[in-house]
Amino acid sequence: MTALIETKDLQRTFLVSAGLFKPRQTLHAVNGVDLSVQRKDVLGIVGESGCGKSTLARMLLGLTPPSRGSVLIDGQDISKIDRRDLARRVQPIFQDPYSSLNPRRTISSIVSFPLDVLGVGTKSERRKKAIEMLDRVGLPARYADNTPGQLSGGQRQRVAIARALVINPEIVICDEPTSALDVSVQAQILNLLLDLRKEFNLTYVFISHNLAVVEHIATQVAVMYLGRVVELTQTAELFKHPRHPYTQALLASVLTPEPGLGIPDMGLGLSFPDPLHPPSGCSFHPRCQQRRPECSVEHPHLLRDAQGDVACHLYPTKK
Amino acid sequence: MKKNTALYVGCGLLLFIVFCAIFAPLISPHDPYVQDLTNRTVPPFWYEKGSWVHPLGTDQLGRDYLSRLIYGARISLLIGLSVAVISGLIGTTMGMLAGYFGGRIDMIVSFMVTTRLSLPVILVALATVALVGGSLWVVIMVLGLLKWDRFAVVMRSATQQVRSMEYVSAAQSAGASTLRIMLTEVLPNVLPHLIVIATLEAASAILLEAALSFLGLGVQPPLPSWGLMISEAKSYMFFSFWLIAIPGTALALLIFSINLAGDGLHQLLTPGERA
Amino acid sequence: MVTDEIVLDVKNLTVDISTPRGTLHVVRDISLQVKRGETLCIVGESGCGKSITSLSLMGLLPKTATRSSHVFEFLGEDLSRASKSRINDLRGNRMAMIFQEPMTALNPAYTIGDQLTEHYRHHLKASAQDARLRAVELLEKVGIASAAERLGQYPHQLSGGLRQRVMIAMALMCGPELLIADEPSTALDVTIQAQILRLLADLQEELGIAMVLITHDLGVVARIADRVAVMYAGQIVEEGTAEAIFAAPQHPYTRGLISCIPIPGKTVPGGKLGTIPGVVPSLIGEMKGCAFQDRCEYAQARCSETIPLHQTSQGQQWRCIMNETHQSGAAQ
Repeated sequence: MTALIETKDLQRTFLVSAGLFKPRQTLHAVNGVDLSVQRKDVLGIVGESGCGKSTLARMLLGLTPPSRGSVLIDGQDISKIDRRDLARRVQPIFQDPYSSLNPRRTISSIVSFPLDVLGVGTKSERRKKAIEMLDRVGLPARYADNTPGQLSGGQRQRVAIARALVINPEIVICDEPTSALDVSVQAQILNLLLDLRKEFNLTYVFISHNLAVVEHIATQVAVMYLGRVVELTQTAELFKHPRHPYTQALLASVLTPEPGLGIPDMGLGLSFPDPLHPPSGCSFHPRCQQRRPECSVEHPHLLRDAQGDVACHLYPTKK
Repeated sequence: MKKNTALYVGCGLLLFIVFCAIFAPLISPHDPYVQDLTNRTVPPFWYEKGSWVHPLGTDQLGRDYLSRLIYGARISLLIGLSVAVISGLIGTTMGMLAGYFGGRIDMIVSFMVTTRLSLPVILVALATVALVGGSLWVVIMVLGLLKWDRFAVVMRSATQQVRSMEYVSAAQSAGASTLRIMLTEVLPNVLPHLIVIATLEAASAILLEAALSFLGLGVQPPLPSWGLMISEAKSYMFFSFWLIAIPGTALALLIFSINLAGDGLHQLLTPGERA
Repeated sequence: MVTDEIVLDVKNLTVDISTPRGTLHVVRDISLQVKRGETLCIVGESGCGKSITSLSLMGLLPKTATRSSHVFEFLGEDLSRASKSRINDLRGNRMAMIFQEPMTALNPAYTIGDQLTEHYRHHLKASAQDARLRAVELLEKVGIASAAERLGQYPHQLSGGLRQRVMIAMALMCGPELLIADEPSTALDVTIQAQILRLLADLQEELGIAMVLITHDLGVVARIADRVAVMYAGQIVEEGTAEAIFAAPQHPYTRGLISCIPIPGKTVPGGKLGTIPGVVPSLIGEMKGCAFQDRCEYAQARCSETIPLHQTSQGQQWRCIMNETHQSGAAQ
């Protein structure tokens, strides 16, 4: 079965100025990512700052073209899909509820904007659909003519969700949709996203740095580090048997509200990688507790087996 | 809600001046061009020798000063408005394109701005007048084609800020064309900056015209430009002080009201920020 | 090791902020106590008043704020009527604060060394030489290698995690007895966050400081707190040891909050998370009774009157009409 959304050796580099007299340097934001998401799945992408997940999100939305490799929507290269057709199939929900809504538009005009662009129905039909969608996400109709400035963070995020779903897309790319929200609001939004997924048969790509949230919502998880996917497997499997040392460290640093467990020491050391000057070989090796001599020399190949994908010298690919 | 006094006072004063300018033929007591050499430099009504026939007196050629003042408002306002519009269109387009697209377009625009900044406005006006002769339209064209630099710079940075907002990315994801995004998402959000710069540039253009006319490079007599009136009154400075004071005060009031109105409009247009 | 010596004692602290729309009752009659060697976590969501509480303890409130308290003692000294210069003497010296954003809390125009030594030299009248030695000592204590070289670096040359360590070192320079940390790890990556919190816990253990840690993250609270104070709409609704609060939360807000959090291995993936319906009430104007009643599933008419304070033998306290056995009977 063709994956609904797929990436093949996806890469994106940026030229960054390093100072007044230094030549521009290359930043490999996304450095060879292969992903495959089946219909109705939820792919969770986790990683810390600098891992490239936001750049990846933008490429999945078609907002940033890849430097190399490709993004395929239902087998079709994204660069060959007409902008409007793409809009009908893939929609975003962004992180910052304060910058994802145009402060000068009314709520109903924000939500009906995708319909306006695609020219669906008459003006009053579009407004009606927008209000229906707002109701579905839990915002009563009386908010329709307010401006975003009058809404709270959680309410704004609901508006963003309504906007994303109003044209019935197949795929929703969620870039840290709950990270800027209070815990109680986060729970509401997560419940809403799960309900909507069932109701509208949606496929999510859910990017987050919060592992507990990803465990709750994703069916499979990809762990990213400095532009590469270091591990990819089913959610339950990842949390029970993490293979890559970075995944293990990441899981260990999740502080669950369970007193008495203290704070673990993952032994990661102080060095934080500079994306402009990544370490040689495996980019995680300076911080890895289980490193071997070959880790600083050679970049590990991706092993794909029944358990999932992992790129680590501890799991060598068969020659 | 904090009262927007700037808006009320500024707009009120400005509207009053605009009103006077529009209805100049109806409210001027006399024709501003008619000379009466028997009644030269008659002082305004609050002096002993003045009267209500010529409420603000007459100038050195016997022309009614109040009428000239009122008609002069037309010239200043026309200059301010047309220069703001011409330079605003040029500068805003350049700035928004540079801010939105970045890269090569940004480099080209920045180069053009730098080049423009190296040209002194007065000297260019001088050269143009020497070539073409001075007139109201020459002044408008010269100033309009030169004063777009601040628009370009400010609109560029304002556009860059808006460009980085997620609602622009959302609009792109909705399939909107670049033009649509620029007009419906970017422009309304950079409008406050545009208003402020437009008022500053309008005020500055008015002052520049006055300066050019004062130097004889702008509007030519007998047009009642306030700058020209001040220039013509130079030699009478110590005897008939009002000949300079009156147009000078009018100029100051106009600039003041424009700036105040611009302030007030900016306050009005900036939406409530999040707590 | 929690001792018995009380470092900070606050009773009936109230902070009001005057705004064009009326008086904002940001902190309403809260009391807290921190002992030497103890970590008190103040936890709550945005708008509950926890940050203002920390600022008021340090005397850093904005001009529009008025603070009042029946008791406000630091190591037995009454601070509620202390002069500005006395507060300045104490601040950065015996009481120190760490902020959330390491990017903005360090001045980009000065070197790390300058910023570290500045207060030390001011408060303790130390020489430049002594201050540098102390700075190197503390940088090493917070785990920064090549400390001497780091003194000459500027903040932008360090990563977020390192900057936060420098902030901690700065706070410890004069040997404070009270450390207030306002969301010290929130802006950091998950792996760095754990490291910083561990560092704080270790330092507290070693130096025997009293620590007040403000956060919205219940996971952080569970792992690092000795005592917990849960804040909602300017009030402390529940207080107790970390074990007690998480094992048997009494106040409906605390219980709601804990049920909201997905826990890998415990909450059912894809299942419904607990929620707290409604929104935080406005803090302007008088509030009768419990601030949580509009969102509480157990609310009754009595919630608009004075709410009784319940207490268990282990020192867990909460303000609710319901007692330990969830009966809304007469107050104890």
